[in-house]
Amino acid sequence: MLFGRRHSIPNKLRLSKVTGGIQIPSRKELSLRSRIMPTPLPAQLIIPLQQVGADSAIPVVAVGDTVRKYALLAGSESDAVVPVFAPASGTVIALHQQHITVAANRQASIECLVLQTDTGGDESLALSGHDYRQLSPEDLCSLLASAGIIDTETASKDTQSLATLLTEARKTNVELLVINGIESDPYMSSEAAIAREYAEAVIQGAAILQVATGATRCAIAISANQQESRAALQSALSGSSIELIAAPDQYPAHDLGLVIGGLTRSTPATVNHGVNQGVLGLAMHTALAASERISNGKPCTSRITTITGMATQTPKNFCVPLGTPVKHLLALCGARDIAATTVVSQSALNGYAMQSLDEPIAQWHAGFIASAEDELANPQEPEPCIQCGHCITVCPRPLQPNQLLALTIKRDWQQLQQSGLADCIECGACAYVCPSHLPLLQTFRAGREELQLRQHGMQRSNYWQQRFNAHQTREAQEKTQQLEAQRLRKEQANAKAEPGFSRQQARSEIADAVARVKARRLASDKAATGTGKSGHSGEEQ
Amino acid sequence: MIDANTANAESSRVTHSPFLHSGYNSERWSQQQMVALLPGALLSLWFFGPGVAINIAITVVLGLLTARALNGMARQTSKGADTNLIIMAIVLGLAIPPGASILIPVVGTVVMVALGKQLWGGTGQYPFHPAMVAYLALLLLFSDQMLAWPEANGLLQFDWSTLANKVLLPNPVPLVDGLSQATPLLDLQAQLDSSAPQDLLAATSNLNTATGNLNTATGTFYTAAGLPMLLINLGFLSGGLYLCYTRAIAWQAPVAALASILFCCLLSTGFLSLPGELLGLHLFAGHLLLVTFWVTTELSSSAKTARGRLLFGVIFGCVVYFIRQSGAVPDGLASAIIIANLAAPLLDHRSRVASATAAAQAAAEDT
Repeated sequence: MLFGRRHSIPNKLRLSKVTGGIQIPSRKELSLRSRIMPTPLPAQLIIPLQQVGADSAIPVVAVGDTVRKYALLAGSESDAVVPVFAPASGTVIALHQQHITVAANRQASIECLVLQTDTGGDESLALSGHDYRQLSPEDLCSLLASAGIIDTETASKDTQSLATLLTEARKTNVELLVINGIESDPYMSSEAAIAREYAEAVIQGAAILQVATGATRCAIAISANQQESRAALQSALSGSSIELIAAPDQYPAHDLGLVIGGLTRSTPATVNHGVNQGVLGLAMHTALAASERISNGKPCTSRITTITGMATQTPKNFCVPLGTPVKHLLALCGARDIAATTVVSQSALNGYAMQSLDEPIAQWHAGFIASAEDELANPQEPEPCIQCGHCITVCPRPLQPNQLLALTIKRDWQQLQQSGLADCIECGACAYVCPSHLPLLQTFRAGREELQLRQHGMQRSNYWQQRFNAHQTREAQEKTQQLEAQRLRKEQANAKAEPGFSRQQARSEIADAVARVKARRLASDKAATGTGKSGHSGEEQ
Repeated sequence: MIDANTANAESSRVTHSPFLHSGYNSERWSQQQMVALLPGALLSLWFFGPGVAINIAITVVLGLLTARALNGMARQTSKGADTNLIIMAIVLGLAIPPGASILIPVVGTVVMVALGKQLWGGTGQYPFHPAMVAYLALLLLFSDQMLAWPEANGLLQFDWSTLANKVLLPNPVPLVDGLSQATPLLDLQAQLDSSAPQDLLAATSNLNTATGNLNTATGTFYTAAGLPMLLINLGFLSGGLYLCYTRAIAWQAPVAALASILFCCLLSTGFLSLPGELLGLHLFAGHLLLVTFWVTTELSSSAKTARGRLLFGVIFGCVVYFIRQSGAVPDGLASAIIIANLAAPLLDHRSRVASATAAAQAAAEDT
């Protein structure tokens, strides 16, 4: 696109099985048994003011203020900030820094606003919606950008604010908009539940986003084995130009890079959020939030999150006000003996165990698994690699995890770069099949982080090297200029001054002077001969 | 309600993703391998007598003991028995003639474990298949005994008195003469031709006429022994197909090996007709199927990528065919495996470089 090259997106959109990948027995039916449930408000909401990958928003309310639902809590003029709205009416009781897990192996100290919710009833602002067909793409974009929506990939590898994505999409010509509703994790079912119960809203959201991004085509991708969700979308899509793509039942089919690679039938390269090969991928949650924003005027203050696992009695999907503590939801699901349970966030394959159940639910939280005693596999003592090559077979990228592991342990960064550690999508399929229980996923995560740091350091050092080189050349230039100027000055001065010393001239001058002296002496001698000739001659004699 | 403090304290146990595991481990892998070996091994036992069982027992038990001792010397702790080693020991046990002296499996096992495996660094580190290294060593050390296969009469007609030979030391091999020549192996082959039993030659004469220059006495592990070998090999074939079906082994290397042998056989007739007898001799007269399914798919020494495995199989198949048809070496399989093992790292490396470059190119196009 950038170089005027159009990417070929086939007319018939189809997702076939990627090379590699694994089959995991699905446990989605646990949480899909019941419908999406609205969450009874907890006593307190802890609302992080900073979203992953964005700057911190500046609070517009103070401690002690009462706010109504959907009121702006924090925001900024800057594009890099995602505004935050009140998920419920209540009183702001604190503003403080709190440690929040933002990624699988990272915690960050984030400013949080604590909202004491009203006990009487939820008082909301009066909001009005629009018909998106009567709005221009620019108006849609500005409305969506101010709604505080974060687009989260299914496995929460990458998050970005919708505002940034829309700006990028409008700059590059998007051919295809894919609403990615594929969930290949065995437990998580929030997207399947959304498709099943809010099919109309999802499709409307997709249409809104298509207009806003200016994409020529739009498609919704969903796992093939989610029959109910597919049927719901299919019937809601009748007469629409939006296409429906069934993704193979395979882990990790959800990865955006693989989806885009499969749709464009090209090598799946590492895909960053945003427009890749003329395709923009957005999550199904984003479509739902966009529809809510335009049709009802509501900013994004909630999300659908799965609470599941054998330790819960009634696993289900919740429509959760953002900021609800995890333990509140677990209690609603009747989690037994929560003290002894391991609660896993995001995914059973590449998620992470919660350190604290007081953490609030944010837009990137796909779900939580409260596992019974023997439900999830415990980490086992790794044995030496037997070189079975299973990891190579299941890797969805053309990588060789067994080689990468050895190279990561050796910290051979140059080789790692060549072997494509940067292409790893951290899906965890290799570690799932490894018969020696090697900690492949964790090693690659650490290695990738270090690789990124090193690349960042390399970029910085290159930058300073360039600046130093520029400085050197500038200094050298200045010096030559100075010398040149000096020379010029001298020449000018010489040109103005009398002609310099010349031997011939000096000789002639000397000769003249000698001649003059001689002439004078001759003259004085002649005069003297007249008066004192005798004396002189007498002396001589 | 939940007590927040206890919840915090308890849920901070250190765990890491993935929180699910396929449950597949090396024990299960080798169980599958052993189950798959069972039909062929039992048929071998039936046709060749208790010598097969004695050989396998020696190689397995001594192999595990040697590995344990060497691990102790290297101060390496090993968890449980090395399951991969058991499979290799069984393969070696099946490859040694049942009538051979027990000194032969003993020497073979020590060579296999010490030189073939542990010296390279143990599990996952050795570049050549240890059982094939040991087989080649035995072939050089005890060439007459290693090629003296008894008649496959079945357990009912088994001559139990021949078991006494097993405890005797092997006869010295007159290699002194051979070594003074330029190619001792040729000399060896000539000797073997003259010393082959008359009845065996008669039994295989029809095959010999069909294959022309193929020397059945020296080409493979076994002399072509007709129906018994066919049954034994069908046992190995069924086991190998089971392994492919359960994905315990990758199908690429065996399929490529068998296909390339078929191709070579067709090439010899100029694609005019299917050389049934030649093909039968190649596939069912020796231990080709055992080696194809259990040795070319060995974990450490063979290729690991899909493309690498295919090429590995092709190299193995072609080298086996050419050694058997026109080679001076008395055995094709083990040499072919060692040659293919040599190529394996390069095959893997090439397929890795190709894919990484492709990814890099695609990434460059994106930016």
